[in-house]
Amino acid sequence: MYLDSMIPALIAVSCAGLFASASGQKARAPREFVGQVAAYALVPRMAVTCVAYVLIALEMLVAVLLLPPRFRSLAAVTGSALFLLYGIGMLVNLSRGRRALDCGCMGPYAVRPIAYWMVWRNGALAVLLACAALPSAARPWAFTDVVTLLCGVAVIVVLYQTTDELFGRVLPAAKHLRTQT
Amino acid sequence: MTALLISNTVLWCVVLLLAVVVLGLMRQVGVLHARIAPVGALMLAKGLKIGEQAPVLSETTLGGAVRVLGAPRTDGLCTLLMFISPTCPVCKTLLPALRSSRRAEQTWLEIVLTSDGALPEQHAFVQAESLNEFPYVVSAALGLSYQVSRLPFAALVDEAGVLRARGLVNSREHLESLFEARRLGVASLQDYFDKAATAV
Repeated sequence: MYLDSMIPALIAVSCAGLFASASGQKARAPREFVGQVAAYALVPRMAVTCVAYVLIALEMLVAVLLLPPRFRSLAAVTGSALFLLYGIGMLVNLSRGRRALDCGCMGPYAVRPIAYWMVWRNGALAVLLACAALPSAARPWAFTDVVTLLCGVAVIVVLYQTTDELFGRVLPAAKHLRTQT
Repeated sequence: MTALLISNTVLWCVVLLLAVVVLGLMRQVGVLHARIAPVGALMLAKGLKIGEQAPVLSETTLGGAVRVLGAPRTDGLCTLLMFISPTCPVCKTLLPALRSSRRAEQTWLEIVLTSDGALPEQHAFVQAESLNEFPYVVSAALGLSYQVSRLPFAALVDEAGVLRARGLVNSREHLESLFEARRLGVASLQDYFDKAATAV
């Protein structure tokens, strides 16, 4: 059974936007991102700069290669591995008790501490993006498909932000209030 | 086909609009959470000023231990002096909050109950309310030095012996506002609002 070509396209374009935005933020302040990678304390000090620049380059590459169907499978697998890698990095540091560590997910301009929900988010994104690597049934696209793709991506972007707001801001604040009463 | 395209487009627009509205509501909930101010203990105009060195008094607890209250502590704990009385009904309603706060905040705080009056009555109060877990000091001098005019009253003294918060405490929220005041680095709820107003 093959997926309809719309589903991998929707996932790929949405994730391409996410990687483009994240790598763009990181590329704007690469030195700060090197510091964020070093703070995870997972890479030998001498390799930190190299790893940080490779991560930015990989994210950019994935963002570009997710768009043409020809390279989509390769980019989807690489992107999925990146999500998992970041998730594991957060999980290791959470188990070390370093809950104040800056996530670095969107570069140095969006400072936020790591949390378990981010590990789950990355796991979900990795599975979702891996689905884009599955074979899909090719069919000619109609104008309706273009509408579906554009509107679908817009809805996914808004829902991603909503989920981020819910788990990153609203629920921690509600938990803090509950513990006060 | 045209009807399907129109229907599809309208549906997508509605879904997108709905998603945007949900995002807006979520942000508003976040903003509301951020704006919920802590309920504050009532500051009394007279008395010691926040940031001043607390009066240092050597007192004996009902258990017989000698405590130097208000002096810098070597164990790094802050001291909450809780002024109560066996004849004060509100004080009794606060005791469960004091017990749970003692457990919840024990890593940084010691709660010392202080009262004034005849010793037999104080002993009976401690037994009746099972207050043995708290250091209990009976001292008129302590109340006078903190200029306590109404009960229940609390004063939070940090590990260096500096008064960090004080006020009339009628509820758990008032009690916890003293901890919040120390955490936020403000003297009182009024101070908190003044700072918030200047920041806007």
